[in-house]
Amino acid sequence: MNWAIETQNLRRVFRGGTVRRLWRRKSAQNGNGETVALDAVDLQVKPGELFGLLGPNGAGKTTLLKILSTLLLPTSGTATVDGIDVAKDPERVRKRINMVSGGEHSGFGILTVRETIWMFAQFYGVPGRVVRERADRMMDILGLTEFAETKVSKLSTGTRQKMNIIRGFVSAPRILYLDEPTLGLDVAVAREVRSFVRAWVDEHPERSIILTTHYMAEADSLCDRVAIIDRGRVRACDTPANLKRDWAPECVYRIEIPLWTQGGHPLDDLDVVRSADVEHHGDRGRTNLRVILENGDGIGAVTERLSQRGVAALSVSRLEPTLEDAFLNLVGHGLAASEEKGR
Amino acid sequence: MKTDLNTNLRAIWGRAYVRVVGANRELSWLFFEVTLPLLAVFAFALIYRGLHAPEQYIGFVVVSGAMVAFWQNILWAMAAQFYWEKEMGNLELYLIAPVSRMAILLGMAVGGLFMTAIRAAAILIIGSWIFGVHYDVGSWLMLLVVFWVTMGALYGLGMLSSSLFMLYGREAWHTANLFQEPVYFISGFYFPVRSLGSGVAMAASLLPLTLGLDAIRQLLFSGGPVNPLLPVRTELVLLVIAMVLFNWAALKALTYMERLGKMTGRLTLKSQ
Amino acid sequence: MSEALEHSDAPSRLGPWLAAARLGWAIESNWADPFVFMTYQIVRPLFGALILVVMFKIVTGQPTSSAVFGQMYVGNAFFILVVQCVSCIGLVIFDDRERYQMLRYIYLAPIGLGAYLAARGMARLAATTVSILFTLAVGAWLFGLRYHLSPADLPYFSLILILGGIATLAMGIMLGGSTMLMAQNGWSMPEGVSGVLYLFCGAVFSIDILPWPFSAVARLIPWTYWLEGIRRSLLGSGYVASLAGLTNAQILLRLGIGTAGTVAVAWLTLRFAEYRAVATGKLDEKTDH
Ligand SMILES: Nc1ncnc2c1ncn2[C@@H]1O[C@H](COP(=O)(O)OP(=O)(O)OP(=O)(O)O)[C@@H](O)[C@H]1O
Ligand SMILES: [Mg+2]
Repeated sequence: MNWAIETQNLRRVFRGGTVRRLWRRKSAQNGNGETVALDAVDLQVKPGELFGLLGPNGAGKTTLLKILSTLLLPTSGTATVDGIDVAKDPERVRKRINMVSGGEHSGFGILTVRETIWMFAQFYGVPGRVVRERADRMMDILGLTEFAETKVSKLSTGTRQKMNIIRGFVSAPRILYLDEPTLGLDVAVAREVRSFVRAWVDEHPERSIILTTHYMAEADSLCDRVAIIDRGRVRACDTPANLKRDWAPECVYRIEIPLWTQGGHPLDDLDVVRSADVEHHGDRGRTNLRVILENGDGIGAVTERLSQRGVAALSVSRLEPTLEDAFLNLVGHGLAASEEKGR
Repeated sequence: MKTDLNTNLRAIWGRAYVRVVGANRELSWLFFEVTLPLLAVFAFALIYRGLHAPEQYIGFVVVSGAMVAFWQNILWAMAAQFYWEKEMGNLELYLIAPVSRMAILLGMAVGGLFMTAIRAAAILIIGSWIFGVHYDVGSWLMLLVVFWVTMGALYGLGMLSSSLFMLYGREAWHTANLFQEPVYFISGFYFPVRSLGSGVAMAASLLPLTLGLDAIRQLLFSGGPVNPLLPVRTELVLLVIAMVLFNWAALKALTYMERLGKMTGRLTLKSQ
Repeated sequence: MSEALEHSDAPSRLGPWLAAARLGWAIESNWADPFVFMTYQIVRPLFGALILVVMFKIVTGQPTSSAVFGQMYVGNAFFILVVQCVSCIGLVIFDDRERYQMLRYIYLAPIGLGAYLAARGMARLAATTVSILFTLAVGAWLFGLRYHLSPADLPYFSLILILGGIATLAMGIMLGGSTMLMAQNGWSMPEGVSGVLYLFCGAVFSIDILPWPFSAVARLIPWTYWLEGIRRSLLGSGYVASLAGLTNAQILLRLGIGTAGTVAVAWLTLRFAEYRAVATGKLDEKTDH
């Protein structure tokens, strides 16, 4: 089988130095002040696949995409795109790829949206007429048509990001890298972008996309397969359904109790409770607990403890495990902090 | 092969377009970018008037005013450009595109050259008119050849500096600033470079600007006391060599810097 | 007592000003970096002066110790102050807006833009003093210039310097404010203005050679009198023949009036620019190409 992307034992080390402070999270740093951004990464992406990369900040997602887009050399190991080695033959790789990053500020404030898209397409040798056709269609789908003649400096973040996305798609690359493409977009726009991305891959059997994101639901609904990376290593790689089946705890319950005002939660000393999220709804006089149990039998112990403490369980329901549960289980620490990063 | 050439030509045009259209869209550019060098021309011309210098010198100053426009374009819109575009995020996009990096640089150069030529012409015309400069052109053909070869060498130098500046943060801005008065001095912008003594003048000839300016002055004022450095033909030969050399070095430096950047990870690292 | 202080709004008014000033100073004093310092404070002014030297020599053939050259050289040396303060503060906005995208934070934080600009200007003033002293020293050392500043002249000389400094700062702040309303090409505007001032205040040639409407403008701006005052106290004689009839006190008076006028215009411009910038949303527009 000819993979769209394949990496073998890929490793990338950054010499330490002044730049490290730019990243919030210090990842695996060895004694010499070096950062191992990627370590022994083996991944295969099939043609026609929409492949997701999940991982906390500093996990190495962007680094991987930079290597695959010929912007960075691997320290060791190999990476091929469409069977071509990125380090040995970058020119041929470039003919097959394009990239869009969230929050990018590329282009020139002085050009219009249409001109910007046209200009970048020139670097791929796309004739003007073809650019126009494709751009018009995509602007139509993404609702950008009314901004076609607006200067880029006047665009809002979301509109600008839509333009960037079209910029990446307009050269019709076989393999496209999307680095947090929905960063900073509102719910509706993010949804438009997602369905656009999905439709793009579905239209043609040999188009592939690699997408990084911090939004679990996005990866779950959009990607054919997902790799979870942490500190430069691939922890798991499978379809979202399989990841949930294999890695998400099975026993997740939602328990509703009257408003709990005593701090913590009533189950905090129970062994079968692995973790619990507490949500207070003062206005309704309710507290919601989302508890993950060690095993299915634990729910008995839970109800018992509640009644011991004189707390009425208003409702108990079992929840479907989510990709986030699987992610937390694998990576071992929440994304809560990283989702606030607000970059 | 043919499609590669096509793509590269399109890339040149795409990048040049930004400059041509961009500059026209902000019309204030014309006003400032013509007025500013003209002010310098006035200042230096008046100093010469004040010292009762021969009128010839005022002609020199006007011609230099036009050449300053090109030098400024090289410094700010070529040498420092890749660095700025790295900060904006464009550089990554150029580098992942299947075009030669030289095509992008050429695009910048062509766009810059075109816009600057208009500006320089305005400076030359207005300056000559106000100060009543009288030109005495020996050979128009030679003048054109010398001008274009000088530009070839200058923009080659610009492309070379561009890749050198690429990886070096804000230093690029300061370095570009450094190359103003000292260059105006050693390249003899406001006086015949020969006045510095032949030794210094020959050393200054490492900058193509020095020889180009000297040759252009000789050709524009072929009658009067120009105090030339070398015969025009010799200067032309040297300029051709400089042109080939700088462009070749630009190509090499670009490949080298790109590789270095890809190895260290500095290529896409932003300084903010 | 301390109660009263806490309740008065004086600290809260001053606080933002101090913060702005501190920020401005911190940014501007990056001239402590040796490379940057050498570039702007030593090398560029030095070569600017050298160009003059060669021009003078090739045309007149006289030694640089001649009186005319001294007048040219000193005027050029002090004009560095105008060049640097005006173009530096004038460019602050572009610097911050285009490169750091910081302007809006400075603006949003309740610190006065005026204070911020003034503080950056003061830092620049300090740095420029070094350049001027250096250039003057080079003049004495390499080109045989002689300065005759007697102790009796010192108060007068200081007054002249202070007034000129104030006028220059005000000019810089005014430009800084108005570039806020301009696209990127405006970045050459402050340089343009210092170029115009160079022509009109007779930094190197005497304003007497300017044709009529220009010579009248030259007599209106404070920098003309500033340089004349400096030349009289430093070199013992004035440069401009048509100002020779004015006493030293008259020179000082005209400088004072000119400075007051400049400050007033600057203040009004800044107010207007701030108002317009918010109204038209120019604060964080990017226009590079
Ligand atoms: N150019 C560089 N120089 C030095 N270190 C770098 C460089 N680029 C990345 N790193 C380091 O490599 C590690 C991986 O960074 P990377 O940007 O790939 O993470 P990421 O998974 O994309 O994170 P995020 O979710 O925050 O985007 C980090 O520790 C980072 O500090
Ligand atoms: Mg990233």
